[in-house]
Amino acid sequence: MDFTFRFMKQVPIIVSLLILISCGGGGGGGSAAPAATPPAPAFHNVTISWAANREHGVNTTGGGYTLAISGQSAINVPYVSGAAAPTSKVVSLYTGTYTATVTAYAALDASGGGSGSTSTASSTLSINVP
Amino acid sequence: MMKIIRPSVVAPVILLLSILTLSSYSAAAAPLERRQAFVTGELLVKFKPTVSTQTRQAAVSSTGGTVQATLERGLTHVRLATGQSVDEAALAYGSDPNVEYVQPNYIYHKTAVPNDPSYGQQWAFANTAQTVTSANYSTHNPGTAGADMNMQLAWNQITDCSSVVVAVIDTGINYNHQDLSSNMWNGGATYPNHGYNFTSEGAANDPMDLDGHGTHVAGMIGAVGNNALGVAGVCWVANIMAVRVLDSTGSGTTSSIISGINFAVANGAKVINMSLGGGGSFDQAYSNAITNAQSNDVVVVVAAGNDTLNNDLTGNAFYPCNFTHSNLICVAALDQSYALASFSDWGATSVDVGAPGTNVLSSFAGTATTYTDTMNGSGLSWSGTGGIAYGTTVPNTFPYNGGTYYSLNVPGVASWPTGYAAANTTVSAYTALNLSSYDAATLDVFGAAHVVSDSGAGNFSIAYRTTGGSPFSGSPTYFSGWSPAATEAVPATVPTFFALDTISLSVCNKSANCSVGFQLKTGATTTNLGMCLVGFKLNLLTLNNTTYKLENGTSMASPAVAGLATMLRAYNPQYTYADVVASIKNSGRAVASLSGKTTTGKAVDAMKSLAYINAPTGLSAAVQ
Repeated sequence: MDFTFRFMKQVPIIVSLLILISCGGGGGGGSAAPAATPPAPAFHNVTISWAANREHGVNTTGGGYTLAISGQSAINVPYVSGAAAPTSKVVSLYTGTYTATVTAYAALDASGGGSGSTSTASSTLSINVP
Repeated sequence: MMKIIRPSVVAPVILLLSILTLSSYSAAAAPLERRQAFVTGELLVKFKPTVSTQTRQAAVSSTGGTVQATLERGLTHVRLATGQSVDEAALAYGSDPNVEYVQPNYIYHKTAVPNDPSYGQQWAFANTAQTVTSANYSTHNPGTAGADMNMQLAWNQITDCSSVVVAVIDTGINYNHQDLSSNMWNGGATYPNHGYNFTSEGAANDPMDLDGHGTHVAGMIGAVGNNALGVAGVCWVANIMAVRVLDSTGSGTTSSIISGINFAVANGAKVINMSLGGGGSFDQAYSNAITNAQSNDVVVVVAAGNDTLNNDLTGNAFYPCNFTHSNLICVAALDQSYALASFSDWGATSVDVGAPGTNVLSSFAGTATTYTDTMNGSGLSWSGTGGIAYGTTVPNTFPYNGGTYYSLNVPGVASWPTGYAAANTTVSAYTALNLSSYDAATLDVFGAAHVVSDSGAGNFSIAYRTTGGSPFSGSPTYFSGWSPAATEAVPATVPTFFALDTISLSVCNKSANCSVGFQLKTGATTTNLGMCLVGFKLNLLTLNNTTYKLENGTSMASPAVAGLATMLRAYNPQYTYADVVASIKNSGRAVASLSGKTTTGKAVDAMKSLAYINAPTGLSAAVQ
């Protein structure tokens, strides 16, 4: 939650910077263009999505997904209600390159108990946050 | 049977640690809510013995909860406040110095055991190292406890697979069987007998099983469970479509089989079992039919074959097992100790998994009996043209190894093969059969001819007549493949045998006056040619709805997996064929006997497949 609030405060600043940079690029003529100022490191909202698993257990109470992003705490995306567990998550990431994977889980374990089962991880996704 | 929480003194400590660990969920652990086997919205809170009832009540109330009951000294059954998670409440109570420990209100289940009286013999579902009675596969009987499909745990999750149509493409099904009738597919007015018959025997809309094999297969998939009758299937409640493509001899053709596959697909089957196969060349039409199934999201489960061969080797290919479609699972047979059955084919690239396939008890179409004429004159009454005689010597090239077997010789010289028919001569022998009390009959027959020289002009034929008398009088009706034109010419080598063949006598079903005969016709240049009948065995079936039978074969292993595929689709309604195949192949139990002999090295495990979760796919990110 804390990350979310901070990000929302940052957005206007980022947008303003982008506008300024864009305007600055309009010059020309014979003189050399001023060196572009790299965007200031900032938090960005990143929506990470994946295809829905079709297991009953993933899409019922006790099921869901775990989103793992390099350098971050794992994020639980549990089933809440309706037909399926959520298949996306908006996260706030600071400028940099990340890798992400998703695993699915369900309550039922392979011994018929409730200690849970987890899938192997999805293919790794590389995310570049400017 | 209830699971028992061990009354160990370490239990409270473990439980408390467990909760603390779970409560501190971050990266690795899932929240407590993920574990479904407890009552959400409830906790059991153990207060210290010195804490008064009022204090306990106040502690619960302070969290917004209510006391449901006091179970024993200080152990309080608490209903949590609406919206409060078990995780949160556990943390809250855990920080209360008056609380000794807190734990979820776990849910326990009895292990699902059906009340079917012969269930104890079904080691495939629950192997207790029981001895299967009247077993006809003696190795590892009894076997190893636990070498089974783990069905009793799976049945705690699901027993009703009726939302998924499973087609048994086989010899048909006795759809009136007491353990199957309520689990048969409803084909409506168009298919009133629960399926279709693509053989040349019987009515097209009647897939009645006149062999027994298909009924056995169907019972493994979906014999009604917990009905206090006979046996249980993998699915206790099922939706089984009968597709008859094999006749009463157990044989079918590319034409009948692909028609059966396409029928099943067109009528909504999502799992197909085919406990059948044959060696030989790649069959394009057959392959296309399985592709059609794949295109329609249908799982096809097939048997590996029973020839003790490596299907991967050139010349050993066994279809459909050796097809490479991604919707196809090929199954080897395991015995009661999960050794590869002595007869089972295998293949590190062609066979996928193993499943129980010996001493498998299941429903059967009826009472099967056999009658063998020993050809010594005391059996059936034979009449012959050219004279008959009973002998005791047959050529050494016979599969029967010759020597001491009785034979019916035509022409009638007991010391055959010293008696020969002249050139341009026809000799024959026939017998009358009363099959009025049987629903189906097949004939295993073996004939031989002794030839010195014939130059290919002679022939051998087998005919029948449903009105009695010689089948060769008038216009004979020949069995398929055994007309004088169709059958092989008498070979010009000496001595030789014609064939060991199984012939359907369906034309004589329920007939009291059926005759079957054999005829040898010599050519113009024939010398030293005679006919010798050695083998004559009738396989008889009387349908009934209460028979069960032990069988061995990959034919029995395949439906175990088809039943599991059906169960997986019923449990996971959104599953595609690819999900089902992945669940079966990627879960399962590693078995040494299958290592290097199948693609997975695993025996199927129903519970593991139900708990299996595919890895998520399609991961993408949008930076805003």
